[in-house]
Formats: sequence, structure tokens, C-alpha cells
Amino acid sequence: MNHSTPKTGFWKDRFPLDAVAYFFKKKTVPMHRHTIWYYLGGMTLFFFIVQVGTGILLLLYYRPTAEAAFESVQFIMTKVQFGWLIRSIHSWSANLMVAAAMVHMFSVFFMKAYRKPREITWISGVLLFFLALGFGFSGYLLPWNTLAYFATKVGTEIVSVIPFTGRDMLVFLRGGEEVTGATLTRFFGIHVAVLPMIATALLVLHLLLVQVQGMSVPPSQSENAAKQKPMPFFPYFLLRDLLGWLVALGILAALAALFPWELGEKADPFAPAPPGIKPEWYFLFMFQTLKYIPAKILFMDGEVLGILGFGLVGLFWLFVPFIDRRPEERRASRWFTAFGWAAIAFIIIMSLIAYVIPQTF
Amino acid sequence: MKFIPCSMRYALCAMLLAPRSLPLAFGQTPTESSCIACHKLLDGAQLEPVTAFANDVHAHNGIGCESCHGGDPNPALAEDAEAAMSKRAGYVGKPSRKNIPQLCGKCHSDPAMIKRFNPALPTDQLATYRTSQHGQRLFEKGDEKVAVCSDCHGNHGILAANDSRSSVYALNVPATCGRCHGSAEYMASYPIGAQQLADYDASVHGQALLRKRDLAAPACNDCHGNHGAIPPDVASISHVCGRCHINNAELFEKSPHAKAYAEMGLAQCEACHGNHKITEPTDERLNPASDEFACAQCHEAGSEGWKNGAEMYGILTDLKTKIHTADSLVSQAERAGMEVSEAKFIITSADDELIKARTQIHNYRATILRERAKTGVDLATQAVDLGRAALAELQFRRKGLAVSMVIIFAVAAALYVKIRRRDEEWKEARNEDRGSKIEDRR
Repeated sequence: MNHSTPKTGFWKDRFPLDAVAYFFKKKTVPMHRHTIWYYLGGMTLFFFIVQVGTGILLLLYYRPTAEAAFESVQFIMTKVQFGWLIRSIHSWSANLMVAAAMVHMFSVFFMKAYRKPREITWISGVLLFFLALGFGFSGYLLPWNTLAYFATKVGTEIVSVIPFTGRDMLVFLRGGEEVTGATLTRFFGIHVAVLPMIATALLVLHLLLVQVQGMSVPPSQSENAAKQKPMPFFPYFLLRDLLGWLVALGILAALAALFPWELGEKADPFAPAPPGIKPEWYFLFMFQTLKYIPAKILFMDGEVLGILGFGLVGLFWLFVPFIDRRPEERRASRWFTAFGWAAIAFIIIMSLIAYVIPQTF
Repeated sequence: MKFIPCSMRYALCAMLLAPRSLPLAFGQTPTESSCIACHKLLDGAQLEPVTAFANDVHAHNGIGCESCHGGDPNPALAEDAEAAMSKRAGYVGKPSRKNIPQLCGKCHSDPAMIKRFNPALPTDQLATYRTSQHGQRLFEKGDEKVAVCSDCHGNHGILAANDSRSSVYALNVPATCGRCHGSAEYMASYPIGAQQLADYDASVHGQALLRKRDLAAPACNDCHGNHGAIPPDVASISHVCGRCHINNAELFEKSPHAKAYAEMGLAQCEACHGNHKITEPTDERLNPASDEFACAQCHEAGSEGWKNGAEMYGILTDLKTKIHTADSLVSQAERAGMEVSEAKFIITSADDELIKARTQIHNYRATILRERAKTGVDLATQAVDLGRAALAELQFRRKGLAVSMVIIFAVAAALYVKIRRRDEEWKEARNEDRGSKIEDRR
């Protein structure tokens, strides 16, 4: 009797991942008018990987104390071989990552990809976006320059207006009443340990759910997608993804080389706030809005109301899959789509106003 | 024979009566006195003392009109001018100009009296005034055109010297002195002219005090004294200037010029810088090719002193040129986005060294100046090197970017071709698949 033995190999014996390989071989991407938006998630992931890589390299020289932080970044930019490039890429990539995440999130929102059974994918994605903002806020202070110092002072001050717990939260964030070396150490810890840990866990969950559930087809495109044969992920979609990443890498390299991220002046806590300081672009619309809210609305403090308003909108955004049930019932949810467009218009207009009108905090 | 002139006797009477007329507590304004009550009802020049006196530092300290003018301030005599201004009440009236210094001095020369109001106020004003040109002319020559206390401080509206509205507040001193010293007509009978205020106004000191409102800059009294105003003599000029320009004065005292100037009777600092119209000194004063070459005033062309000046000019020019080169290289690199804070810091240090080197000129020894300027030259050279390195790095980055872009573009193009090929294969496979399905259906 002739017994045929299955083909084996050193790695195959030790890593029996045939099921995984089979999964990726069979994985497909739906084809329709809006397929292009599927690339944004991968693009965000690419920038995140760049952040992790450059961040680890910066960690080799960065010193998180008020006395040495600025000088260590200066050292990275002037003395370390290609240090300027690493720091510049880290800063530019952070901004591009937030931008890519924002576009990805809105595209998912408009394509109603949050509908059942992808509620958890949406929630994990929104939380990842909030974490990206947290990465940006905590990382902004680390060079310990004047702009970062005062932007952090203003930014953390806002937390204190939250009723009941605001003051405690401010002290917790700053490591005291004022922005000091303790704040810098704290922000450093949050930036390189706490946020990466949470982000990795959420990212694994998010990617796992995307792989398991596959790409969502927008309700408006379901007929169109059914007519077309889905594209195999490997190698067709992956090659396109790689092309996108290459373009992103080119843009990143050009930005980092032609517009190196400035270091500015070392922070001086005793100096008056310089004119024209403003937060990073992704926080600008909120700051501008808070400026327009009157000091008192009825019996409430205007700023408190503004912060609570943004908090409520954030919660609404996070739990939108459980609020908007119409897409899963194959009904159009025009109000939610209108809300999405209104949010985009609001963010763009407020940010533009903040850039045009000189800032004073 | 009168030992004491009539007006002085009235003043002395007033002085004797003064303690009786100072019953007001410190800080109490003597608003209700027979003088004020009556003059309030008058107008023009008679009313002016009342309105001006309301802000007067003496009035705020409870010192009334009778302290200078005598008379009885009792409010009950408000309607009895004759009794209030009677000789019996010690009425003096308007003190003559010649008597004003003693009149003011009766209190301001009395430490016990001044201590009651302002213990920090000196009491040597009258004594120093006697030594001044003004005092000497007034007391010795009877020249009543010279300034007395009231010409500078005012009369009924006297304010503390640190009050910015006061005529003797630092910013107002040039204008106060200039009321006489700036008037050609008033000064016509004196040999010193009336150009001082205009000259001071155009000087670095005038610019700093009057335009930039920098109270650290000297006004007239800082060099000439105030109550003891007198022009500094030749030997003391470097001490007067040296109160602020300490290093320059010290270097000058140790220089070969100190002795030579003394022998020649030249006014130290003034010989090169002038007096009232001191303009910003430029390095051109050491340039043999310039009309401003100061050394040529005494040293003949080609002499040791002349050569020494020329050498000092060369040293300063060399340092300045190096700093300028470094600055332009570093600025160019900074505009291109390079991190050049270290180079900028070094340039600032080199600039400081240039200032120190310019001060060193007052020693008038080129060999010492060269030694002192070396630190600045070394710093400027270091900054030039850093500026050049930054620009070289910038070129390297641009070339690196160009090479990276070519590689990225080539890989992207290859990937694109690969995608197209794969797409065609996929399309063919789909067509074949579709064809076989149709066949099967048939």
C-alpha cells in the first residue's frame, strides 16, 4: 500500500499557518464606485508604522526633563546623523496620520460602514482617532519650546472648566498646578508608553475585525458591487496599497527635506506668552469655537457649555452605530449624512477663520 | 549802616515766625488760610498761586503760604487783608530773586526741619548752589539773571523731583535748563553761547533720554551737577564720563594718552567725542582714509600714533567682516529651514567681543587690542564654519531628496507596471472563467 505523506518543511512544521494563508488567499475587496476610500485605512496604518519607527529612533537621544529636553532635540537635529530627517519625518508623519485618519473616519461614516455587524469596528476606529489626537497633544510639548509650552498651558487649562472633576484632572495632567518639568515627564510617559499600549490593543482589535468581517459595501452601492467580481486582496489590492504607501513616502520625504520642522526657542515659564501662538491644526476649530461662545449662556459659563457640547458630540460620534439604525434596515439616513457634511463644513470654516484671524490666548 | 537789607529782615522775621505758622500735621493741606481764602476771590496773576499751590509738595506737607511770604494765615483774617499782610504779622510779600536761595535754604538747609518731612532729602542745596556758576554770579557779582531755585523748581506749584510732571524730573531737565541756555537772546551777555540744548538734543544721550525715554541716559545735571552746576574742568572730564562709562575711563587712565593729554591741556573724552553733541562713535574715527580719522588731529601721517590708529582700524574691520560673513551665511541657512541656533548664539558672543574690543580702543595700544579681539575673531570663524557646514548640509539634503525621489518614482513606476500586468492576467482569468460558465450552462 502506497501512503502519500503531506509535503512538509522546516518553517511549515514549526508555524502551521496554512489556515491564515488560505484566509488571505481567499480575501477579496468589493469593487464599486467608492472602492478608492478603502485605501485610507491602510494609509493611516502606514503613517502609524512610520511614527513607531521614527519615534523609537528619537527615543535613543531624547531626554524628558525640562533642563535637557530642548537641548536633546537640538542635538538630534544638529549633531546626530540624519537626526533632523528622523525628527522632521516624525512631526510631518504625525500630522499626515491625523489627516489620513480623519478622512478615513468620515469616509466610513458616509459609507455607513458602521452599521451592524461593524459597530465595534467603528467604535475602536473612533477611539483610535481620539488616541491619535492624544498622541499629537502629548508629543507637541516634548521639544519643550515656547510655542509648545504655551499651547499646552492653554490646552490643559481648558480641562479645568469641566464641572466637579476639572481641577483634579488639570493637576493630574500637569503633575501640579502649573506646566513644569513634571508635566513634561508625564506627557512623555503618556506619549511613549500609555498611549502606544492602548493604541496597539485597539489597533489589533480594529484590524482583526476588518479582516474577519471584510470590507463593508455602502448600501447605495450594493447592487453595483454585486454585479462586479470582487478584487482578490492578494496580490491585486495589496499592490495598489503598496503604490499608495510609496506615494505617501515620497510626499513625506519631500515635506521633511524641504520644510524641516522648526524647533523654535526654548520654553521660558517666566516669559510672557508670545503673540500668535495656536494649537495644532486639528484642535484649531475647537479653540475658535470656544472663542465665539459668550462668557455666559443663561446661568451657565459659556466655556463650560462649549466643552460639554464638544464632549456630547464626541459621544454621539462614538455611539452613532447604535443611534442610526436606518442603514441596517436598508433605509436612507439622510439626517446623519447631513450631520457629517455639516461637521466637515464647520471644521473647515472654523479652522480657516483661526488661520486668517491672528490668535491671542 | 544796615547789616541786613530790608527784604532780608522781612525774610528773617518770617523765619522766626515760621514755627508758629507750622501747626498743621504732616500731610494736612493748608486749604483754609486767610491767604487762600482771599486770593481765591481774585483773578489772573493773583489767583494763580492758589490754583498752582493745590498740587505743591509743600502744601501736601502742610506748609502754607506764610512759610515763605510771612503774614498771618488765620482764616478769621480772610476779610482783613491789612491785618493779615501787616508788617507786625511778618509779611514779606514777593521775595526778591537774590533772596530766594536763602529763603528756600532756611528750611532746606536745616536737617532737623527736613527730617520731619523727608529724611532722605539732602540739606546741602544752598551750600552747593553757592559753589555753582549760578550761585557765584548771583552772590558775588549780583547777577540776578542767573538761575535761582524757583527758575528750575517753579514757585507755587513745586513738585517732587521724582514726579514725572516736575520741571526737574530727568526727562524734563534738558528743557528746564534750555529755557535759559537754549535762548540766544537771554544768553547774549554770556560767553558760552546758547547751542547746548540743540547739541544735546542731537547727541546719543539726548536721543536716548528724550526719544527712547531711557532714564539711565544722562541729562544736563548728571554731568554738570544740579545745585552745584558747573562745567567739569579738563582734568575731571574722564571722571564725569567714567561714572557711566567705567571701563572706557579706566582704560584711558592707564593709556599713554592720559599723561600726554594732561600735559597738553586737552580735555580727555571731549577731545575725541565732543561735549554736548556726542554722536554715536563709528569705527571710521580710526580709518586713516576717512575725514573723521581722530588720530590725525594730533599724530602726523606715517607717525607711530597714526600707524597705531590704522592698525586698530584693521583689527576691528577684520572682526566686523568675519561677523558679517558668519551672519549672512547663517541667515541664509536659517531661511532654508536649517537649525542654526548654536551658530546664532556664537555670533551673538562674537558681537559682544566686538563691543569689548571697541572699548579696548581707549587703551590706544594695537597690540593689546589684537590680543583682546582674538576671542571674537575665533568665535566669528567658528560661526562662519558652522554657517558653511549648514549650507553644505542643505545641499546634501537637496541632493539626497532628489535621489530618493528618483528611487521612489522608479519603484512606483515598476509597481504600476506590475499592477497593470496583474490586472490584465486577472481580466483574462475572469473572461476565461465567464466563458467556461457560459459553456457549462449550454
